Amino acid sequence: MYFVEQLINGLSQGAIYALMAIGFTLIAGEVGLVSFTYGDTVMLGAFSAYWACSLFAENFLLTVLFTILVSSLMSIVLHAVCMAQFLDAPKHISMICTIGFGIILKNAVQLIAGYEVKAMPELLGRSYFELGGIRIGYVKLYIVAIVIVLCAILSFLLNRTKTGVRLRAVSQDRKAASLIGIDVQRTTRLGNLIGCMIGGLAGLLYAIYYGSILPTMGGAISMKAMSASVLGGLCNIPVAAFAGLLLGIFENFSIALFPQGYRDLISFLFLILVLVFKPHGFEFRFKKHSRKEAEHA
Amino acid sequence: MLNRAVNYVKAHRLPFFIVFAVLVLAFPIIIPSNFVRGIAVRTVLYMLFASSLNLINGYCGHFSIGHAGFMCIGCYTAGLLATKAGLGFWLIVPISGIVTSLFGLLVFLPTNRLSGMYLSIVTLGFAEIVRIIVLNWTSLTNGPLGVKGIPSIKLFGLKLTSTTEYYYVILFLLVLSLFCMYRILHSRVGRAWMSIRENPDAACSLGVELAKYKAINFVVGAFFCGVAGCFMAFYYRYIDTTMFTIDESFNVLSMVIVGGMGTLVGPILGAFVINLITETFRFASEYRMLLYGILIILTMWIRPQGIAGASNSVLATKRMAKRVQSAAKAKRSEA
Amino acid sequence: MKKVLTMLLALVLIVSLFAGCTQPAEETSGDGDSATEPVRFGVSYFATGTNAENGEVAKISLEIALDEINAAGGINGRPVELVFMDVKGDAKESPEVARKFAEDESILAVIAGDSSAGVMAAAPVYEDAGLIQLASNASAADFPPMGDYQFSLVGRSSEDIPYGVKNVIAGQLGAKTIALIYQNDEWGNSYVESYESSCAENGIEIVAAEPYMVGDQDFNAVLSKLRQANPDVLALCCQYAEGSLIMKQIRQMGWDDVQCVCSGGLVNDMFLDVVGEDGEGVIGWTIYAYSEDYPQAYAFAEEYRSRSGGKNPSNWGGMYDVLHILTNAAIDCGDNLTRETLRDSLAAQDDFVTMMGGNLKFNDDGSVSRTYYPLTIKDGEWVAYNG
Repeated sequence: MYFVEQLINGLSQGAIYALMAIGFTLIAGEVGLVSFTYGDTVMLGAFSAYWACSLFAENFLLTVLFTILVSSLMSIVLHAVCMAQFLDAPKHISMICTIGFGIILKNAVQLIAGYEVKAMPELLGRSYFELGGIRIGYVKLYIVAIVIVLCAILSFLLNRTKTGVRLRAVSQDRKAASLIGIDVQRTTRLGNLIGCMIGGLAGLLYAIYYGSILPTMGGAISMKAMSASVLGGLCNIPVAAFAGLLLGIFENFSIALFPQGYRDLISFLFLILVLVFKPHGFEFRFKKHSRKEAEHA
Repeated sequence: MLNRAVNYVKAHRLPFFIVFAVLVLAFPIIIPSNFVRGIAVRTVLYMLFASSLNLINGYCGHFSIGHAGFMCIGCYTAGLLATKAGLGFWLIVPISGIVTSLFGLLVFLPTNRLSGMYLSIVTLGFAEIVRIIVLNWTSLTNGPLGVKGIPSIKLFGLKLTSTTEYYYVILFLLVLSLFCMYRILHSRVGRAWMSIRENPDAACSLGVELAKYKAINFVVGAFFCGVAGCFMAFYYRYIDTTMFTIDESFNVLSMVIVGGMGTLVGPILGAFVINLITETFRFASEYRMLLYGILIILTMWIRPQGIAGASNSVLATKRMAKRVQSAAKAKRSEA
Repeated sequence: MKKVLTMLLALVLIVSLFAGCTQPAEETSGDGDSATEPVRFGVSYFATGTNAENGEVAKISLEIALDEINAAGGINGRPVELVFMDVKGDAKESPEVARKFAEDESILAVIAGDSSAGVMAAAPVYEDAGLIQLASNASAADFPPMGDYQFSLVGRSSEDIPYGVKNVIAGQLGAKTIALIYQNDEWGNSYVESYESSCAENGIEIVAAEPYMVGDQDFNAVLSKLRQANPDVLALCCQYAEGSLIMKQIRQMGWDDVQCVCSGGLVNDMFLDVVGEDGEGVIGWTIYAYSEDYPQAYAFAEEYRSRSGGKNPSNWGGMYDVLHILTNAAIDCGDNLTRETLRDSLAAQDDFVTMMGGNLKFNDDGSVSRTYYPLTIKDGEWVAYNG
């Protein structure tokens, strides 16, 4: 039963990681830039959920909408500051910009909200059901369900709409896409927007799952999103999602084997091992051109 | 406008340098405040850290953002050797450098086949792995309790106690390191690094063995970081893993970015500027970090190579396609 | 646009160059404005950083004591002044702050509202300068013996836990088995050691002990492990950030048959705020209990509430006693008040009574032994626990 409990914890935690990985991969694939501020995006999502709860008296729908609004605004600013200018520049410049942006975001939230841990109201309720002696909160199942729904929506968007076609074109080959008339700036802005929105929602779920938020939570989250995304070669969304899920489950089971302190270590080692054996992750798509771009970074 | 200021200084190098050298050497005598001397020691220490990061980032074009990992190793090696094996400072300096450079090699190994973004992620991951292992390996490192009671530096049998004395020691270390770096950079190795930075494919085609020189780059950069870490352990006399978080990596990184990459002067200036801001904003320290972030972004927008960075290198370009044009332009304005 | 930004950048750098050299420390002076020279004490505390709330409690409590002292005539007629400096929760800042205080000749003693790591990092500087560092909340037993000028008023973990184990866990609860969940750092590890020895003395078996790192948010796995050992009591050696999450997760997993106990780190408003109704029934013991049974402490808490907008003091309110005992020591020095005489006077204090009514005196190494009071959470408040 201990095993089942850990499995369920792993699944819901993994679902959240998967969502973060998806958002991160989307941005990395679309804009071609690794965003070191992704963890802080998630953190902002968590905090906007927290503020929404006090503004809207814990109405779940309004909280979700508010989180989406804040994340979208942030993503537009992020794009204008760190990405718009540097789409053709050496990669390290925008990377550094995102680091700077992340520092600003984190400290701004600290200044506004204070340094201390904040309790998140239980938007999805506390009800649970019993299974063989252990208590399983419905919250965990809701989270998995929400993630699945979001993935379905995203998949529909990417694969069956014209916007999706544009997004995929730009991520495959930016120059070719601009040659056939796609507005690259607008599309990367949109890609960034969707990625940050997903990040914000992941932050909301993260806050509900753990029940508390802290302005410095972004750092560890960045690493986890990156680890999961790297497995998918920074461009393959389904693999990244799967990696996120795997990471969540693996982390929860590793407690049984290793002391708690080493848990974060595992995601980093995972990351490095993947990169050692597969320097570009598992790229299942036809990515000759963007690999060259990545190499020139 | 900044270009003109920089060029003016470059043209009148010698007088500026003499004035600067006198100020630096006489500093502790001019300023009587022990507190300010303490800040000076810390600033010079960071100048050394930033210089070591600059070797990796600025000269070879890697993008390492996990320097705190090397700092941690350098510091802990020194701290543990001093407290557990009772070795003296001057003996530990090279040992700490060598141990850290071995780790530099370790970091290099998986990154050889990796490109820009992946390399950065790995360096960040490496720094965190080091920190977590040090934090948890209680039997060796005392875990979260840190290493305390590190003795002070002994010079010819005399124990150094005052801040002034420590200042001169770190100044000596910095000058010695800069001299070594200068020699390395003007040798075949340094030229190989810069060619790798500008265009790895071209370098390879001209016979530069990429892997070998990249490895040397990490090893040398890590070595100087280890030396600085050793001093840090003996100066603070108490170290623990909270001093080597991701924030610390970003701290040193911002010194290199803002001050300049690809020149020896750059990180010196950067460390000076950042530490100056730290002290100025002591009363409003929450805003200090915000300012760092803004400075970093501003620097990237206006002058990507940093205030005193290498202007005619790839670091200065903001448009990939225009690389040839801007390099030519920089050359024309230099002449 | 580019030129404007460049000018801005240059301006910021030039301004910092000039402003940098002469930045004074934050100051607060007492009400007295007599012609005689004020007595100045330095205060290192958490103005910013993750422990900023504790710093706020410390500052307000010090100000309450300061106003009382100055209203009563200060130190032999001289008003008392406090000079506050931020240690930012970073152990590397503490020696810098220490250096600044040390070189200001008018500072006669420093009250350190700092962590164990911070005071220990700063101790060599204070010792070399012959300046008192009087720690209010740093409980590491290794700290006071570090020098003649190092004092701590919070009591040691080596006495905190034995009290709890003997009186509360063995005595009032009659427990036979205990599990520990502890913060993996200096502070947490010293608590575990104390638990190990006092449980052995009282015939209680430690069936499991699991560490966690500061900043962790997910304790489900650790708690499941502890639950498997089926202890009577679970001891939380935590600060409020993790402690509150741990309590919430304990309730969420339905682990209702275990009694949770904690030490002073959780007896404060911050814990209550985050833990909410999941904290009901937790038992703790600490050196300050602000209930009506202790009139002076209660009066202090009322004053604190009026100054802080309704918040309750935690055991950082002990700063009140810290300033009072330091002042008494200074008064005893008479006309000959220097850093050295103050140190000797402080070490010799033996009739100081705290606001809880207990007597305080320093041991030879600069530490004190304190009395502890058991409390429990009832209806969302910390109240006295009577078994």
